[in-house]
Amino acid sequence: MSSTECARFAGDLGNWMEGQRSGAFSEHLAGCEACRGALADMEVICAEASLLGSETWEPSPRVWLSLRTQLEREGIVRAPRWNLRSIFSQFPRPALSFAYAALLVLAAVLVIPKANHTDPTAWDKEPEITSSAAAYDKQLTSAEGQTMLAWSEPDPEIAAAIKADLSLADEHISLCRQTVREQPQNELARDYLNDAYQQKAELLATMVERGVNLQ
Amino acid sequence: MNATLPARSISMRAWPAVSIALLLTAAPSFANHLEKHFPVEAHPVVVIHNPSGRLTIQSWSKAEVQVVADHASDEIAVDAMQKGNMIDVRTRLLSQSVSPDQLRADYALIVPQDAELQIHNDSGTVQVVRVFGDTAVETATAPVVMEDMGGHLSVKTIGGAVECTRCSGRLEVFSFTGNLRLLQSHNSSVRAFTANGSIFFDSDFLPNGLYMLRTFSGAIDLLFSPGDSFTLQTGSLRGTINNEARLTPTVRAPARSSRFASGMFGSNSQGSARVEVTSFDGTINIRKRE
Amino acid sequence: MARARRTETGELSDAEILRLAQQGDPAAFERIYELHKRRVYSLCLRMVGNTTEAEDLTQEAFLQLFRKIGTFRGESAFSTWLHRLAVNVVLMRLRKKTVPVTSLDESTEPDDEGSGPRRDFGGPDLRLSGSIDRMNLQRAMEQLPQGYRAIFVLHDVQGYEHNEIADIMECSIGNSKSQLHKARMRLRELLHEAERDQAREKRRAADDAQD
Repeated sequence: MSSTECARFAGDLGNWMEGQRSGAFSEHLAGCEACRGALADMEVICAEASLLGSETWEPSPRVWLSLRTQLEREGIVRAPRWNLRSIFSQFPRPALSFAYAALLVLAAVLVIPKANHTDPTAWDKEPEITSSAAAYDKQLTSAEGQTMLAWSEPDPEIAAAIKADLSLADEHISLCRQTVREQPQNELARDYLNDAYQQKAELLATMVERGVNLQ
Repeated sequence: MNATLPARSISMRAWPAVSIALLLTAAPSFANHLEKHFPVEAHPVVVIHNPSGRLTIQSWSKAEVQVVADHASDEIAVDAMQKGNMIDVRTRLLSQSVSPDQLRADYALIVPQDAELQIHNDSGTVQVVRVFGDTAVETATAPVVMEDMGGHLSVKTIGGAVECTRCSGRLEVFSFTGNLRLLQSHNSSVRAFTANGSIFFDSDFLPNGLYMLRTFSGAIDLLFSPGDSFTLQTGSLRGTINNEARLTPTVRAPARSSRFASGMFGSNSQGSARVEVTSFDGTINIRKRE
Repeated sequence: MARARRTETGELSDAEILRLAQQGDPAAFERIYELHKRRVYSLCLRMVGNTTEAEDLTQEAFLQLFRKIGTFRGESAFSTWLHRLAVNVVLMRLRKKTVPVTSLDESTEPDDEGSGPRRDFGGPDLRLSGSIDRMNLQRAMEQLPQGYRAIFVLHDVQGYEHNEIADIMECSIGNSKSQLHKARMRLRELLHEAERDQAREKRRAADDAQD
């Protein structure tokens, strides 16, 4: 067979491999060793290639680590976040009084506005943070007043510990607010301010519950 | 651990040690004694409310909860009741004006290994050993000691210290001023916070585990071995960070939004577990084990 | 978060994993990565032949995927979408290098060289030996123009159908078939050359041994 004739059937060779059989090419194949050779070769190549396909490889662990880090950096994936509520929520409390319930709500929703990764202007919202913190301060002060009026602790050691911790919580709130004012873009500072408010709210709620449990 | 069970009597008698290895100090003698046994099914729930006193809980293979309680004062009573598969153990005040000394009641419980525990013991001591159901402990000043525990462990104290040894499962610990020690444990997840206490962590990092340690002013010491696989993120707003881990890459977190902007970030070995260590103004020490 | 629907085996279905990932769930992202990492990495490795570069490309492919995951509406199979991203990432990287990438938007008309079998005048056996050495095949694949290599890897190695390849490579099914045929023919030539080179080396070695 001449190579010109083989070239005429070039497309059929490819189709044959796709399972499309033409009568004319079939006849050509019967008499053309070159085309039969080409067909056989391609079948061998395909067979070996499919064996290659069963062989897969595992990328090194660094790929996922780098990927995860990048995803968190871009805010696409929610990185595990520290939240004191996850600990406090393990100790459910009955709603005992308005002040107590208010404290629970305060502790549950007390969130300083978090950084918005997609909003480039979010970093400049320090006044918003300050006004949120001021609002929380006011609620906590009110709740603290009501709690102290009703609080009675028979154990002086525990009473002293609670009073000391209340002072500590106030001190922490003050330090954290100052730090957030100085570094409004710093998420760690915001986290700590959140924690400080939650600690105080939780402490007040503990005081209320203790008073009930000891009756 | 074999327990030497006290005789069944409520008359005045010396309090024998339930387990010498368990008790932290020698027990005083009490005028009032209670012992009760409750047959239970799988996963019983045991709730304890005790304002003051020593509480020890250990486990056995029986489908039974044993409650032994002793108290000196006649101003309080101890109740242990069963409601279905729940055992409720409570110290009750018999008068309004009870002094702290009169509040004390000591409890020793033995429970099935799969029991779920809810413990409120304000002052005194709390020790729990080898229980694998979920455990929640709340104290005011009582230190908490847990050994060989499993399940979801939650501890909240105002001023008590917390020590967990050879524990597994999830662990969450909060204390205002108590120190936290996590030793030889295999927790898949740890969230530990103490405002003014310190944290000492000398435990394993499980693959894909999550370990978050946070203080306000207390120091944090975290020990690691060179072969441990973790990604470390540390941050401190006003404190210092001393790091002996060779982290790869050692990168200062670049994003100004990152809460680790003033800390460091990197991987040790394969970086499988995630470790976050933060302090407001305490010192963070990432130290290699000797 | 609403309770996810699970299959009888207790595992989350692919649709649920995808939904969770679209909500930013880190575990869902990791699950998607675990499910597809080997295939994507192997694809990249076969395309570029270098482990470090293949890992970078794998990371880039998944990064693009996760950036755009919120826009996936199920118009195609998820894996097809992912592999399209991976192939595009590889081709983009290769285009930045000096290696020319064969355009897939070529006519299906036979070129001047013809895609039929050559006649090696005076040559020995026109067929490859019964089996091909795997290393030779991989070497030959590395010598293919990038467009041919992409199609060959996707179809004959990875097992994609032409309609899937057309989707991934954004070409017609006819083009995919045509380019595949050309890739196979070129591979055949390269393998023949390799066999001839090896035969020549053997003869030379035998001659040297006799001397």
